[in-house]
Amino acid sequence: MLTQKKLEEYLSRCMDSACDFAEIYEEYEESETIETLDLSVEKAERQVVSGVGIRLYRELQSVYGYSNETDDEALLPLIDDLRSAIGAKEEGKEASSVTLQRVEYENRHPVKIDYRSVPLSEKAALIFRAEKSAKETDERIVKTTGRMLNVHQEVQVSTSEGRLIGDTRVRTRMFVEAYAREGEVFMSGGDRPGAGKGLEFYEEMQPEEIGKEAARQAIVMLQAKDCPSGKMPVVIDCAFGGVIFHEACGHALEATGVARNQSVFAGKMGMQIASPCVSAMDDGTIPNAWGCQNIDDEGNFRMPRLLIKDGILTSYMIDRLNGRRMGADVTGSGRRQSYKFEPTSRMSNTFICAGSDSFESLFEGIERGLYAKKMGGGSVNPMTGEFNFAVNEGYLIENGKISYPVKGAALIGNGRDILMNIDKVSDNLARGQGMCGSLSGSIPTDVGQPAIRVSSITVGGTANE
Amino acid sequence: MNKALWIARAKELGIDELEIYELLSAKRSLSWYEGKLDSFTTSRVLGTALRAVAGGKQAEMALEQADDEKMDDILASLKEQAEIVGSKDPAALRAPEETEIAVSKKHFVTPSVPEIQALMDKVEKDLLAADPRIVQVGSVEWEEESEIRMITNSLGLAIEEKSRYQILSAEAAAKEGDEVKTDYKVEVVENLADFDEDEFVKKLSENLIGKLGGKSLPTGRYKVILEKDAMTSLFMAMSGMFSGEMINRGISPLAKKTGEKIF
Repeated sequence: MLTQKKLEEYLSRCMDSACDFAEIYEEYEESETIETLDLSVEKAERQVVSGVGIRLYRELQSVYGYSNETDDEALLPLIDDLRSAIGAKEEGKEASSVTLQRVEYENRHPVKIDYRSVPLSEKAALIFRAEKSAKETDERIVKTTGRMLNVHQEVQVSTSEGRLIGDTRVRTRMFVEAYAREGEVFMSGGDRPGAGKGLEFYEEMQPEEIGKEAARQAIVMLQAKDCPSGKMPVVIDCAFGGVIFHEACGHALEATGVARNQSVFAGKMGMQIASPCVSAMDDGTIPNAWGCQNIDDEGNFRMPRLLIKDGILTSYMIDRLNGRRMGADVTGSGRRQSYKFEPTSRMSNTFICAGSDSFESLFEGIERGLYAKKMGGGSVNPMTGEFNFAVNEGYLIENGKISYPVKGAALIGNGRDILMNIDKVSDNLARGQGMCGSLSGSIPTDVGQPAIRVSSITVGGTANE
Repeated sequence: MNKALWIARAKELGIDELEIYELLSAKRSLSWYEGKLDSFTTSRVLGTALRAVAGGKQAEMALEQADDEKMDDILASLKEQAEIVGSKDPAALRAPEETEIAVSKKHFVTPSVPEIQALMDKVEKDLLAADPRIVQVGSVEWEEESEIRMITNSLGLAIEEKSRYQILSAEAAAKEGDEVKTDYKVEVVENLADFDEDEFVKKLSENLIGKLGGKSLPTGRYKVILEKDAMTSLFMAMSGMFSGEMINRGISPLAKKTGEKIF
C-alpha cells in the first residue's frame, strides 16, 4: 500500500484541477483455486491482483484511471491524464492540499484459520471428503467434481475529504457437483456454500454435508418428468430461491439505475411496490457473511438497509456518485470487483425477511402448482423488470401436496408483478451464496429469503407438447 | 522481470519447464449522457501469468507485479501446486514451430477525444430524434484497447502479438403507454471518417421500436426463425459443451461423440 504522505501528495495533485472530489483505491488480493475430479486434483491455481484506481469528480462527471504500477513514473502521468480530462482549475482559485486522517474501527468479520497458512494438500483433502460423501450416497453417482476458492483481499481508500481507511476481506467457498446415471438418463446436482471466513468454515459446514446435498439433487432429478407449462402458483424455497428477488428486484433498487430513471422502481419511494407481507433488507454487516465487508469500496462503513417494509419502498442502495445525482446520502453500497472497475451501487447480502407463515401452509389450497426447491441461472432487464429463470430442482404440487420431481421448468415474469403477487412468506429465512455481475464487475453476494408463495407465475415447461 | 533468470532459477528448483505469458494492455473509454461527457476511464496494466511443468504436472499462477525479488517464493508455490495434481495426462509446454501469422486486415485510426465526444453527442441526439417513442438514451460509449501479448518459455518459444480494437455502443429505451422496451447496439469502428452514423442510429432505433407492441404467445412448440445475432447468443449458451476440459472430464453431453450427428 502507498504511504500516507504519498497518498496526500497524489490527492493534492488531483485536487489541483476542476474536480471537487478525488479518491484513491488501493488493492492487493491473493486467491487460489483447487479443482478436483473423482478424488484427484486436476488443477491448483493462484492469482495475485494488485493495483490502484484513481477517481475524480466534477459535479456529476466522473473520470477514472487505473494501473498496476504504483510508482511516481506510472501514477503521476495517470493523474495528469485525469486532470486534463476533468478540466483545469478555475483561474484565481487556489489548490487545496489534502491531509489524511486514518479511520480505525473494530473488525466485524474476524478470521480464525488463514487459508494461506495451510498446505494445498490439506485443502484438497477437505474437497475429497465432500466428493467421497457424494459417491457413497448412491451407487448411481458416477462422477464427482469439486472446487475450493480462497480469497484474501486488502484494500485502502483515501479521499480528498481527508478520510483514510482500510479493510481486509477473506472468503472461502466449496463447489461440489455430483453426476448420476441411470440407463440413458444423466443428471447433475450441486451445492456451493461459502462465507466471509477462513478455513474454520469447514468445521461448521462439514464437507460431507456439501457432497450429500449435491448427490441428493442428482439422484432426485433422475426420476424427474417434464414440467407442465402455464400460469400457476409457485412456492419458491428459501436460501438461493432469493436469486429471483436479487435479480428481478434487487438490481432495480440500486441507485445505478434509479438515479437515471432506468429502473422500474425509480420515483417510487414511500409507495407500495410489494405485497404487504413482504419486507426486504440489504445488510453488508452480517458477521462473516459471504457478501460482507467492514467498509464498502468507497471507504464508507457498511450499514443494514431496510429496502422494503410491509410492501412499502423505504430505501435504495446508493453509492457516492449516484447519491450526488439523486441528492441522497450514501448507504455504504459502492462496490467493485477490483481496482480495474469504478465502483457503483451494488448489493451485499440481500434477502426477503422472515414472515410468520409455516412452510407447510404455503402448499395449502394449491390444486396444481410448482415447488421450486433449487433455482438455477437466469436473466433480467432491470429497466423493465422482465426476467426468466431456470429451476434446477422442481416438483409439481397437486392438491396441496408435493407430487413428483419435474425437469426443464423455467419461471418467466416481471419483478414488479412477482413482488405484488407474493401472498405467503414463511419463517425459515436462509441465505445462499453467489457471484453478482454488473457494471462494476463480479462481486460476492448473498441472496436469501424464507420460502415464499407467489399466487401466479408463468411456468415454462415441455410436458404439454 | 528478468525472464532468463526466472527460467534458469525454475530449473534449479526442480521445475522442468516454465512459460511466461505477459499481456500489456492500454485502454481508454468514454461515456456520454444527456449531452455531457459522463465518464472517462484510462488505464495501463501489465499482467503476467506463469505456467510450470514439474514431474509431468502443470501449475499456473497469474500475477500483476512479477518482481524478481519474489521469484523464489513464486516458483516454490508453483512447485507445491504441481505436486498435488493427480491428473495422469502428462502436461507439456509448446515448443517453437513454424507459424503462419494471420495479420489483421483492420487498420484502426485513433480519434481525438473531441472527435469522440462529437460523435457520441450526435448519436444521442439522433436516437432521440429518430422516433418520439424513444424516451431515453441510457448511454453512448466509446471504448478502445491496445494489447501486446508475449509468450516466452524454457523450450525456446518467444512470440509476440499486437492487437487493437475500437467500439461504439449505445443503449436506448422506448415507451408506448405502460410498455417500456430497451435495446442496444455495438459496432467496431476502424475509422471515424468511414463510420456510417446514420445507419448505426437507424438500425438501433428500428430494432428498438420493433420491440414495442409485442404480444404474448401461448407456450408450445413452434417453428422458429433465428436472426444471426439471436442464433449467435443461443450458440454461445451451448459453447461450454464443446470445452475440451468438460469433455475430458466426461461431464459434457458431447463427450465421446466425435463423428456422431449431434444437431
